[in-house]
Amino acid sequence: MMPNPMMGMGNMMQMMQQLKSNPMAFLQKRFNLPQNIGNDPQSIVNHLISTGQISQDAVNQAYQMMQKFR
Amino acid sequence: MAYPFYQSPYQQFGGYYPQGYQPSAQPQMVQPQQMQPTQMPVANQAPSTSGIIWVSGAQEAQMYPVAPNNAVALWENSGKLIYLKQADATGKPTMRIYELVERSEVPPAASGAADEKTHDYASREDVASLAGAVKGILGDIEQMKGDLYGVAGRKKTVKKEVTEDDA
Repeated sequence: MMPNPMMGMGNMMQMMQQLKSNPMAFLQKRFNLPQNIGNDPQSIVNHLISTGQISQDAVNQAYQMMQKFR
Repeated sequence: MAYPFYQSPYQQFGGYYPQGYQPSAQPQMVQPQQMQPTQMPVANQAPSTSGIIWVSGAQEAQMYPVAPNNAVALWENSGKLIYLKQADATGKPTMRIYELVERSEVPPAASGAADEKTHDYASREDVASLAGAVKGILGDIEQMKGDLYGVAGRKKTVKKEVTEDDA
């Protein structure tokens, strides 16, 4: 039985809904953030980079993209 | 049972679709070879950047996240300062500030002028020979003085003797 490719789309929509309703809870669940972490993006990025969940190159590229949108 | 065409939601976010997926009569062993999960479409890749990270000042550089055992060079918007931020194994960040000095293609005039000035200075030998010449000239002058004043002195003495005899 072949998997339905549309199942991935359904999961994606569900994730988007969770992100919209409670973004902090979604991030905590997805990236295993501690409960006492701050709500600002700086704290979240610092935690992710210190735990090795994101690379320095990813941070640099995201920062450059953010500057382009400013 | 493995699902070779199953993708996580994150991989699908960029519109990635398996290549060569055809619901035809193909052996199961061939299908994994047709799928190339390591190839990422261009749309999923980050846009090309110049590689320079610009910051507005030291405060923004201090807040920039750096991974442990990593270093990042942050350029100030003015283009005259570079903040080199490093993090050790524990993640403790340190930052150094460097000033940029542009090197022009034309050689600086200061070095050329200094070379010319060294050639204008006289050597010790030149000064010693000049001093000897001056000393010789002074000696000649003194001799000439002596000759001149010596004749004048004899003339005065003769005049006095004549006057006393007359009286």
